[in-house]
Amino acid sequence: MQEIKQKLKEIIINDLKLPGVKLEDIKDDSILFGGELGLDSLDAVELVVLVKKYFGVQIKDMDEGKEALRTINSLADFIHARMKGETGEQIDA
Amino acid sequence: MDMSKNVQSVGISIFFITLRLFGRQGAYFLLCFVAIFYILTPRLLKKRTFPYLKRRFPHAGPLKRLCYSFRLYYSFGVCVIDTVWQSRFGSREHAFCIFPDRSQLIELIRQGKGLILLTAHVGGWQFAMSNLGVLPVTVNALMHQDEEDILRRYVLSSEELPFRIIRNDVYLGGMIESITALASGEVVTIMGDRHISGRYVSAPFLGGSIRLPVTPFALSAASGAPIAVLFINRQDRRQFCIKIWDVLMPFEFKGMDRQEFFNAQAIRYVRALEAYVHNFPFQWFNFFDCWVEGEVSCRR
Repeated sequence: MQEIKQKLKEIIINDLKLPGVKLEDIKDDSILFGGELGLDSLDAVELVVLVKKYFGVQIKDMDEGKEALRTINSLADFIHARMKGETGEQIDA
Repeated sequence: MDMSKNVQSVGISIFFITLRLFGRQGAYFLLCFVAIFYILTPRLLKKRTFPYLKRRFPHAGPLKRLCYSFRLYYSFGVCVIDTVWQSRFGSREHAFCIFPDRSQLIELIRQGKGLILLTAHVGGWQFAMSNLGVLPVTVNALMHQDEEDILRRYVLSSEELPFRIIRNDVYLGGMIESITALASGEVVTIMGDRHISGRYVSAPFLGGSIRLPVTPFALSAASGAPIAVLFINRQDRRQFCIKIWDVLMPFEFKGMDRQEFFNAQAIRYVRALEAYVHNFPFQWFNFFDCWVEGEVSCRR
């Protein structure tokens, strides 16, 4: 799980291009959208695509997205649950 | 505000009754008086029609601009009357709407990356929306409540809509559903000519600079879906024509960073819009001043 969170923070900084933000600046319970990170709906589009690219997990609609995209913790939980569900194996994270 | 909406509702009801009793000719006749009423308010004309007319017809004097304002309002009313008449009272046997580029759209859809239809508030846009059911995949319309209300009021009433609505005035602006729809090979239609809030890109249009929502370009960049710039125009009282004015394939903008990508696509879109208003100057139905002073980059 920690690896997933670490990777998500790297994606947010590098792929969503947040200059001057370090990994340690992003807390696990930071609100992703509409919060101090300054991410908006267009970043949400990018993040959905990147989550699919790096983790192979698809966020299908707002029913899933609203909770999953709330914080790093919630997104990591979502990804972990999906990866576990798809492989049927316990994932060490 | 409630009074104004009540007056508007009464006005719309009068038009529906006129259409039912006297047909389109009766409604056109009534429309003349409504259009004259609107041009008798100079303060509103300055806000609603003059910003566009000054740019489209820069050499027109005040009297000509007044006449052009009448033509704009009348043309808008005619498009709405024709749309309502055909949708509610007309026979669907006639080819009231021609769609010559439909096969090209189907080819784009067959590429499997989804398709973004980028439209504008021109011609009978409500009628164009009601004809999207002819496409072979699910069509999703990214719109806000006001636009949905207009469609249901004027065009589709209690009928099932030929497309799925994705609301863009909710949390994350419908972006998750839009990117998911595109990933499934579906179509997403977006009105590209009005920036309400959020990020925008500025582009030169009719000698000034306007703000466009960056949404369609961002969706194209993220999904790889092409953008078909699609406008409808009223040709005469018997026919509307839905036509592709440009196709923006993501590979054409390869190698650009995100901002350059957005800017380049926005410029292509406004070029199509300019070509449209050059051909159909009285079917531009944005009755407000959409021009702003010189911005050239995408704002965060």
